[in-house]
Amino acid sequence: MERVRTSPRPHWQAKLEEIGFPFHTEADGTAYWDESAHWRFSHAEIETLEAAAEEVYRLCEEAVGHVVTRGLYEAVGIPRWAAPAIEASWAERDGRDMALYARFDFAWDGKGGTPKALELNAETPTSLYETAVAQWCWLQDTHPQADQFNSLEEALVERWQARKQAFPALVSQEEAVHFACLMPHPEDEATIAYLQTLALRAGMTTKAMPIQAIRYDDASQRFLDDAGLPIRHLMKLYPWDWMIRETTGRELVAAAAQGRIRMIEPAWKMVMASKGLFALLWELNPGHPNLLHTALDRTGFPAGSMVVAKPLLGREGSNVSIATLDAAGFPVGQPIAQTEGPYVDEGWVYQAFTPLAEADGNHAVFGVWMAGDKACGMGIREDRALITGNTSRFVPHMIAPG
Amino acid sequence: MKRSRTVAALLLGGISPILFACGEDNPEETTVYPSVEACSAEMPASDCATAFTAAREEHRSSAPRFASREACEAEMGDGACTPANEGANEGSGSSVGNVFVPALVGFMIGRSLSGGNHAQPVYFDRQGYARSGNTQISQTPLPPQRRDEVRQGSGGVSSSSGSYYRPGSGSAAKSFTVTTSGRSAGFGSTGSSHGFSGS
Repeated sequence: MERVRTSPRPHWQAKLEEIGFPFHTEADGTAYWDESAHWRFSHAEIETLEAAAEEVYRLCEEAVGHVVTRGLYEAVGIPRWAAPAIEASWAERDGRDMALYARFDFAWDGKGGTPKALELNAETPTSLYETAVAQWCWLQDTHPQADQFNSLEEALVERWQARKQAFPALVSQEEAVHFACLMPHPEDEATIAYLQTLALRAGMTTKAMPIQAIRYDDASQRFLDDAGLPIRHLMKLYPWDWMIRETTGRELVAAAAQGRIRMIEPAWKMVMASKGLFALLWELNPGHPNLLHTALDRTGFPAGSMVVAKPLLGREGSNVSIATLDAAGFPVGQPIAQTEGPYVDEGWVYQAFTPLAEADGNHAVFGVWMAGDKACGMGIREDRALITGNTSRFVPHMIAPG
Repeated sequence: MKRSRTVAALLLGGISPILFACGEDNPEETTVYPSVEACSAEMPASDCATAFTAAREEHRSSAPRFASREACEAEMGDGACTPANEGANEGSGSSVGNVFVPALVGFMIGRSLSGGNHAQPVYFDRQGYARSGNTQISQTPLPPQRRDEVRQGSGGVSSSSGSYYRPGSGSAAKSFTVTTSGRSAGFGSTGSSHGFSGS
């Protein structure tokens, strides 16, 4: 793999806006979409990433099963009372509570080692549109003969079709899928609209609405949309672990447990989305070539290890720090990198540090997308800093011809 | 590994292509237009007129049908329905009596590889669900907040085309209220304070 500097397309901002992606520049004027460079991979490298993602996803599914069958919810930061929804949905994971998507973050420098999974964003993965559409359009404009690790859109339409087939009432269009996110929130609304587009292409009736407008009727025990109609299928771009702690969280758990509402992602994804899952992954598969030593306890690392501390339920690279630990697991000196944020309440997970691909002072995380258990695309985020956050730049990629 | 060439683009800046083809060759492209005029701004007026005619034919043959205006408006929205035979060709000989259908709010044009066009009628229902007749293809996902703009836009040409939705043209004194029972579910409060945007 290599990072290749290139001239941005003339009028690249207008080109992105034309395809419905106005979010190319941060509020402070710095680039979010960055086509002043791209990453170039060999076919073999892409196949390595693809295989690693599918392998680790399989391990993640096993680990979720381990949590569910043993009731290890506390270990992954989930309250026990949410278990009925998790267990009911897990039992139907191959049918009516199938997964839609997820995104791995992989660290890999391509210098002989294996790709290491840093985490799995199993519930509300970001950068979907950039990956599926914006970088594909970039490739068509700049390297139309080249290939890209990117069948994300087709794979997601297939997932919607599979879901539809599991519900006769979706086939007949008697029932609809509601798409909800925080509104106003231009980026999330755009993502929701894109997912809605793909569901429509799979032949479903859809409706988008603010998640804040969802109502609950105690008499009928139903969740209702802003027109008073029952919500039977809810795609929410909003984490489960927040919803269950909000006003009608327990009602949601009960409704999902009884199949009165089908959630996308289903409740079992709550377990898969916990960063604590990676501690369990290491415990179940110690030394696996695609995993890093990860633990809920920082005393198990050899003295002098460089370790990354992340909140169990953190997001967007918030509240992450990287430091060297002594034999007792205490940091030696100041962290070499640290981010602030709101996620300080639910415990921590510790993971052995591994270098990201680096070029010209840019550190790149390879986001491998999953549709169900199939790897189907990649989006790359770059940062000058060691910790990738929500302002890290999105950089397109291609597979070198030949 | 390489995917097909058409990707769905979003409807952020108003009525724009919903299926956007990148690069030089455009194997498939679908656009939704609220009016022939809006369409003519982007492609030959004759193509627009042809597409509109085709969408209208599709509309006549496959629009959801209701036994009364009330039943239609209950599902599709106040003033959103017209008698099914309005604007029908004089010589068609079809007399369907008191059947009501949702008015078109726009039409979509797809360009196929063979060079031919295919057109689809577009509707919104009362609750903002996007539909395209009874057909499973080419349904348009306009965000709910856009539908009033679209209706307004299409209303602008209603006088000339005679078969679009006309704001306020529904029968008088028809009010349909949807019961909003229940209480707020309270979702979104955590994210509103955190400034959530995924992971």
